[in-house]
Amino acid sequence: MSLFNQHDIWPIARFNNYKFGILCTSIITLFSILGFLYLNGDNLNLNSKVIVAVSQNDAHKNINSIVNILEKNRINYGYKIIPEAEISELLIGLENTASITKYLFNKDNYTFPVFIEFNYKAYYKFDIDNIFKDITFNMYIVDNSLSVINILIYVAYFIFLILALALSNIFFLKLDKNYIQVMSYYGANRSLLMRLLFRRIIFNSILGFILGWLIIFILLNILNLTNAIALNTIDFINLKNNNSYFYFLTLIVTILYSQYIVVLMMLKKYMRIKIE
Amino acid sequence: MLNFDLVNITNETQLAKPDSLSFKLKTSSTLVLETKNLSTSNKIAKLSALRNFQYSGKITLYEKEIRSLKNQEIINYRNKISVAGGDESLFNNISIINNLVFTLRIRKVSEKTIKKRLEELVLWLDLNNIIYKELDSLNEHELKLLQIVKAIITNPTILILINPLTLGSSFNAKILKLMNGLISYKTTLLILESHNYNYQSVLENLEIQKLNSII
Repeated sequence: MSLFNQHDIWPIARFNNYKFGILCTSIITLFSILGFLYLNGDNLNLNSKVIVAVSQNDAHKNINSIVNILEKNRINYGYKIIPEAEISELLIGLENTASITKYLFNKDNYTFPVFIEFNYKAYYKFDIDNIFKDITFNMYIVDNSLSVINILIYVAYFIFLILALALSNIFFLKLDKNYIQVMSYYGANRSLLMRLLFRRIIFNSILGFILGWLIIFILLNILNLTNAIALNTIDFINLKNNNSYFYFLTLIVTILYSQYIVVLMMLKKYMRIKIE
Repeated sequence: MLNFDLVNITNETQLAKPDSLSFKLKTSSTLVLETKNLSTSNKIAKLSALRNFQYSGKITLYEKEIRSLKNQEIINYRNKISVAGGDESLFNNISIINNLVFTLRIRKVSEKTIKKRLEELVLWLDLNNIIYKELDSLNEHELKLLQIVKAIITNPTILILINPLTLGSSFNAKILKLMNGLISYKTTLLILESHNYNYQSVLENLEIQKLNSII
């Protein structure tokens, strides 16, 4: 009995059925990470933004001279001069706003300062502390807690993705419907079928998840070579950030659980004994 | 054991006045039902094996109306009844051997016992030339023989065979050997025949009932 193999002994949850499931899960993973980065990317790390306020009281310390200093030091990206109209909005996000308020409300003593926003990576990469050593400036760190609205938008977006995954699973299980019914006629109980199908779910989820993450990982790291991607985003995708462990773990558990629920629901439906 | 009493298995309305079906299958007996077509045979097989409950009239199994059975009772009876032939063929995505022992694996029989039981059947019916083939390369007669082997491997109490013998098949002798073996082991056999094969000359102690009125 050389062909009495122990692999692929069941007509359902077979290896040649995996491709579609893996593809679906990897697309869901990819889009959920992209959505998360798009909505919350800047807020992943408390130290993600540095605001520098340069006093214009001293002569020659106006916007043009500051831009000249930055360009002289070849800092062509990674900073943004904040327009005056946006400064009041900035106040909400800064730690220790007292000194800025002082700037803004004591106009008799102070000329309006120039606010420059650096991303965290650029600030330390170009050693801004050293570049501005000859001028008076104050450094502020943006308070970057995740906004409730962003989280709500992301949750809605994620639910939409999970529903799309559920639909693909329902569609895929329909292909196995006859096999599942025949197996139940021959005495297969729900736990056996669930065990077989859940094996496929775990395989799909883990492989699809790794594939989705890998695509984003490669993509962002390539982009990071040519452009300044925020340090926190790169740390997040490279799993160097505590937030990322929590996020990815939650993501895979949610994907697994949602698929488990769908499969259980469909099995109950297919195995129901209909007595008219 | 299994009684069909004025059962209507068609989906027609009452206006069509479909004919009714009645037969009694006694324990350890062999009954040949001559049906008009394969579709009728399939319907009777599905009702008898508790896979379908679409009928009017009365069907009883061990004196109990099958619609009144509890889910667990239905599952238990399903495990005692095997069907060979009809529209449930072998799974085309697993090997022939895995197909044959599939039901035993579902019932968590040990791999050692499965192997032993399969080897006995292969030896008895000389199946070595068939079981290692690809499923797609089997002809109709080989497929029929394997369906019967798959059905009997679980030692069912009731075996339902749909058109087991066909004219000109080189496997008829093997299937008859199998059927005679089952009869001698007191297995209850229900043969649903739509090809008018003459069983009287090949099997002993059987009852034949014509169901020409069934659609």
